[in-house]
Amino acid sequence: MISWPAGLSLQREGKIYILPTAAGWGFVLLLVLLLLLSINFENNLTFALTFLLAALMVVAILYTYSNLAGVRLVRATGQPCFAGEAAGFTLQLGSDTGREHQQIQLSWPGSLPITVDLVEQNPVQVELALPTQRRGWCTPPRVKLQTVFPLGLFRSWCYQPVMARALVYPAPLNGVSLPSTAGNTGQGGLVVQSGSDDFSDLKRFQPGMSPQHIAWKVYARGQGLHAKQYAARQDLDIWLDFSAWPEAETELRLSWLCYWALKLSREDRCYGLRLPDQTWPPARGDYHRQQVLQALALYGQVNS
Amino acid sequence: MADTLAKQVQQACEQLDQVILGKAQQVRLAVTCLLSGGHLLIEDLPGMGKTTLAHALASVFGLADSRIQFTSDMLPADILGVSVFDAPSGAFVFHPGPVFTQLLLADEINRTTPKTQSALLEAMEEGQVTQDGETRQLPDPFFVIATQNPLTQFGTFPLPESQLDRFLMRINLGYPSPEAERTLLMRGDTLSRRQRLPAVLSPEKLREAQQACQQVHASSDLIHYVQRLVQYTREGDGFSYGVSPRGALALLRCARSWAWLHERQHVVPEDVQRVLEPVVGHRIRAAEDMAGHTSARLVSELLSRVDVMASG
Amino acid sequence: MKQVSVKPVDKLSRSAVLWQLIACVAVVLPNVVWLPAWVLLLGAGCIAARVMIHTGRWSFPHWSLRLLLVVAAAAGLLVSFNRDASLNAMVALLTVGLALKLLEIYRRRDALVLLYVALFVAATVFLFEQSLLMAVYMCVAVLAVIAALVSVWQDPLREEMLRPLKLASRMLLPALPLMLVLFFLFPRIGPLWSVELDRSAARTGLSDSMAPGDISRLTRSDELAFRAVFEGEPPAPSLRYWRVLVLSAFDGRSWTVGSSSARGAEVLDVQGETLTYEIVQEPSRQRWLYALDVPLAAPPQAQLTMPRTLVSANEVSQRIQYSLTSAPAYQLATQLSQAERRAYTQLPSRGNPRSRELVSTWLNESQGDVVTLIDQILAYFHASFVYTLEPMALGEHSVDEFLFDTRQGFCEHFASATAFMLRAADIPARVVTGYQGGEWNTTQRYLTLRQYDAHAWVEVWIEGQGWQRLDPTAAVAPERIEMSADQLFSGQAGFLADSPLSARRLIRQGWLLQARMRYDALNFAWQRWVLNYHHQQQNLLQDWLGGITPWKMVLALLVPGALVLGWLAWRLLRWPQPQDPLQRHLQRLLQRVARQGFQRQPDETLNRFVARVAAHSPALAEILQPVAEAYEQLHYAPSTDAQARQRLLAAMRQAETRLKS
Repeated sequence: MISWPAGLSLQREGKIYILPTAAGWGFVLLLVLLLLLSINFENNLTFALTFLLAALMVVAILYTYSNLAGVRLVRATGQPCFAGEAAGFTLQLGSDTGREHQQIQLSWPGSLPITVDLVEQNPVQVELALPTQRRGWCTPPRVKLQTVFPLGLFRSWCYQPVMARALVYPAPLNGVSLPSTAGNTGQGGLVVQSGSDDFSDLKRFQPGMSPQHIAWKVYARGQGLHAKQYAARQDLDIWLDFSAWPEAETELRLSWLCYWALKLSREDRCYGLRLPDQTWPPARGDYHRQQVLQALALYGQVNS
Repeated sequence: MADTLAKQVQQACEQLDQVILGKAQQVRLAVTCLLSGGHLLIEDLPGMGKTTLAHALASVFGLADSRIQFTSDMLPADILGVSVFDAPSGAFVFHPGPVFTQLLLADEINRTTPKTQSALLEAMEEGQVTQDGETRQLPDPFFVIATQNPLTQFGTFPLPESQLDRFLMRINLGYPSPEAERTLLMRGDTLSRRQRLPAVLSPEKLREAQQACQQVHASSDLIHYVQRLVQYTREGDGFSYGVSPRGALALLRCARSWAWLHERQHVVPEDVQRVLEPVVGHRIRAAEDMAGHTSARLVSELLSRVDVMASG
Repeated sequence: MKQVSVKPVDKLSRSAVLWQLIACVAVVLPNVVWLPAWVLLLGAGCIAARVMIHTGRWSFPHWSLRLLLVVAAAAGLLVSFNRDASLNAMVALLTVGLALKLLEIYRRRDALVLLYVALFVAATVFLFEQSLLMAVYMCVAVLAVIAALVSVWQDPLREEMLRPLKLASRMLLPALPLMLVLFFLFPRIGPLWSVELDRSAARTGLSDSMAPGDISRLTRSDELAFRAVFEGEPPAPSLRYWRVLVLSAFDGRSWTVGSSSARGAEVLDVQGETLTYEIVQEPSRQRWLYALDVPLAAPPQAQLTMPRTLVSANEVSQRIQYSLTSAPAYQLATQLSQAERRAYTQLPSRGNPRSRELVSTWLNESQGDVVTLIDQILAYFHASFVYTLEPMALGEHSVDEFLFDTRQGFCEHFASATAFMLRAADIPARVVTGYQGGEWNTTQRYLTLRQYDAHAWVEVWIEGQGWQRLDPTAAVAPERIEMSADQLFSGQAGFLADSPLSARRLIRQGWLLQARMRYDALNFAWQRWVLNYHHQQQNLLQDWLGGITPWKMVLALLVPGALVLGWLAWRLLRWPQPQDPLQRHLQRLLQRVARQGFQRQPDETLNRFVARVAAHSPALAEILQPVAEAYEQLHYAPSTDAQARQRLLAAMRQAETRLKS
């Protein structure tokens, strides 16, 4: 489908902060010791070395700052997950400064940081995980970019907004069995399935058909090569109905429905979903599953 | 003159919108494909309105149409036609197959054997049919809409990449939007609607429009952009193979038609971007490490990597 | 927002480990000459072990083994340095620490400790050796340490060795001018507490007594004694007498300083022009300083003795620098007290009978005229004496043997004999030791005096004229005074016998000599302006800044600092600029729009960008719309003429002015 990328970051990179690290303070201590050494021995070459290192520290401020300046979140996309898991976000980090940016660390509070280099690749994609608690849209906080490169004496950091969201499905819970006669009106359809064992009819064999299904007995009678067709007759379309358990609370019901939707999808069965305000007719396939899960995730939430 | 012709084609599109509800984009892409003189592949589930689209296109452009439902036991002759010995005249008489039409709907093309597939694809490529040593020309506007069902894999023969390249565009229709579907349900049977569609254009007009499309100006900056896009599919990360020169030509041709359809005298990058996914989507493949990336995702990646305004 | 910093990857890259090794070796290498052998062995062993660990053949040593090594090394240090908390012991301790730490660097923190200690060791190297070459070498060593530091912080998967080196040099380069500014301006205050310097160095140069053979022994060495920098022309070669000691007591064989009364310096009557110059004296482990004959006053922290030589308050254990003014033409002590007269005519009551007899014969001939007597002595020397570096040994009656038997000698023989004969004639006389001549460096305008320039001459007191310089060597070998000792003695076997490989022996003319002079000048400039900068700073700052005020100091620090940092920031932070003016305008415009929160994405044409902006800010979109249209016209429409360019340019200018307002 043609659509313009939605998650464009409108924000240019924010304010950059910079402060010495613990290693930086250690370096200051080293400078003080060197200065004492120089003063006491009246040695101009140790003075020179001390000043060189002090000047290097000043230069390092600029380098650490410039290592972060110009880096921005080009775009972000969120991948769906189940409540309680970590939602994966694909963040694309890029710069158009023409410089190398090394060891940029991305993190959210509470998430495991990831460190990347913008050297050979620019922009570069990283996957950052954000723990989730509730179903619905998960909108991440601003991502923190920080770096101590090149000398580790200073740490510069900034925050950039993430223009993306991830869909959080309800956590699947296996708790109930599915009501088998959950209000069905339609006719059972005939579905050709390889795994079924009800013999249906014979068909002329065509290249490409599975040789396992060749009806050898028919062939032996000299009636040509035929393949056996199997079919399973499915009596009922399965309906996942929100109103099946009136006594349970909403979130619990959604979790049960989620579990069953996943299970039925795995078994490649045909199922529909009935929510108080929406109905998804029975179908199968990835697309259907996705639609159903999304409906479950967003049920009762203000659609933004 | 060109303007009025474009207007007429736009009217035809609006007519089609009456039948194919809520799919304005896909309808225009299909028309663009027709204007570019290429063939269209629709990948979708059954019942999404592929047949309706084909019939509606045929009647709006005043084209003769026929439909082949492909099955696994179909032979090339079932499509191309057979020579039958005619006793009274004492000679072989050629009975043309369904391929001898102006708009051919090849339904579920992946259901038939590669041999039959290639018979059709060769006819599409060359615009003629060679049977029993005799070559017969196909009608002049010859437009194939092939469909294949992406989900059912059992007992099918997916089109190989080399054959996919023969389709100018690949689109999918997708489910209608809720309101479009409601309208559809309220209105009832679509067949009756289709029969009432008047012909807005004639095959001659279509040929004229096809020629006009290729007159649309493409500046050197635009050609650079097309070239950079194509280049990226060959060199960029995430692609296992890129767009062929034929694909590049197809992209430019479609962009021209799209621009013409929107009454522009020159192609702008937006035209290229609009037709990029349908034209290029089936000609590229993600590299191993990007497995699972759909072509739509790859194309949006491609768009974001190639700066439109980069000079040179 | 406080957050727990988790570092999943804290390991060092393999190239970082190699850089640690290189950095450690680089800073320890200069100390190899004096470090105890077992420390070197330990270091080499640790490096080898680390390489084995690096290549995966060994694993990291067990903690008990490391503890054992630490204890053993500590015991070794105690034994080697005899519990002496000297500088050497400290550096050895740091070196051992470095070596042992090498065994356990695994994470970033270990590497940082190692590198910081390495930087400290690098600084201590200068306490032992300060030559220009060493400074250049240490620059390279520090570069290696910084490269190692960069390699610690880079991606642990990076393997290229050169990458951290390149970045380190790019960072050190702008640090150099900043370092110079700090070096110039940082006020040098004296030591905060007294420190023990190395006291083991030998005393060199002249001693406070002179026996036959003492001075000629000095010609075996080309060691630097001092350098004298002249602002104007240097004195003529015949006037280059550098006064160090006046010896007035004679015991029949050797001359000593003798007892000096506590009286002030002898009265000096300057005749003619004076010369002002600066002496840079090498450490001699003696107290006396050098001055051109004869100094007007003593420099600070030194005293003028009665016979106008200079004595420092402390031993000269470091290279020192002082300014002096001397008068080449003078009258010294026209009045002599009875006690002084007695002291300067004192001789042992016995010994050297033949010499005394010869003097009394000459006295009779000259009827007591001092000048005639001196002429006779000099004529005697001139007639049949040989000036040689390797005179024969002299016995008990050294003057007799020299005057009548051997008849060959070096300056101390002639001076000693002359002073003896004058005193025998009851004329006050004394021996002066010091240096004579010097090598003139034309490029930097200074004289270099080496130990082989050591000399001894006589001062004779003449009624009405005071003390007069009398150099008997000039009578025997006038070329000794006119030429440098180096040129004069080059053929003699004893000359520079202690420095057989000295460049001085090989290079005496041509461009090689020029090169040597330049190298020497460079070294001297290095010593004067860098190593002894604390002596110069005050004057220099006064000259350059026109008075030292805190305000001026701050300004002098900030202005160059801001210039360098501004240049660096511009280099680092500028965006690549397109060459085409249209592109440049467009980029500026888009940057301006970006500051308002709208960043164009790569796949957006201007039209689509404007459409997106319009959804949020219609006013801004309205400003940009003409630009987008003109851009499309220029780049994609069929006829692209010059007017289209102008239209786009105009549209962009207009948009820019509207954006500003």
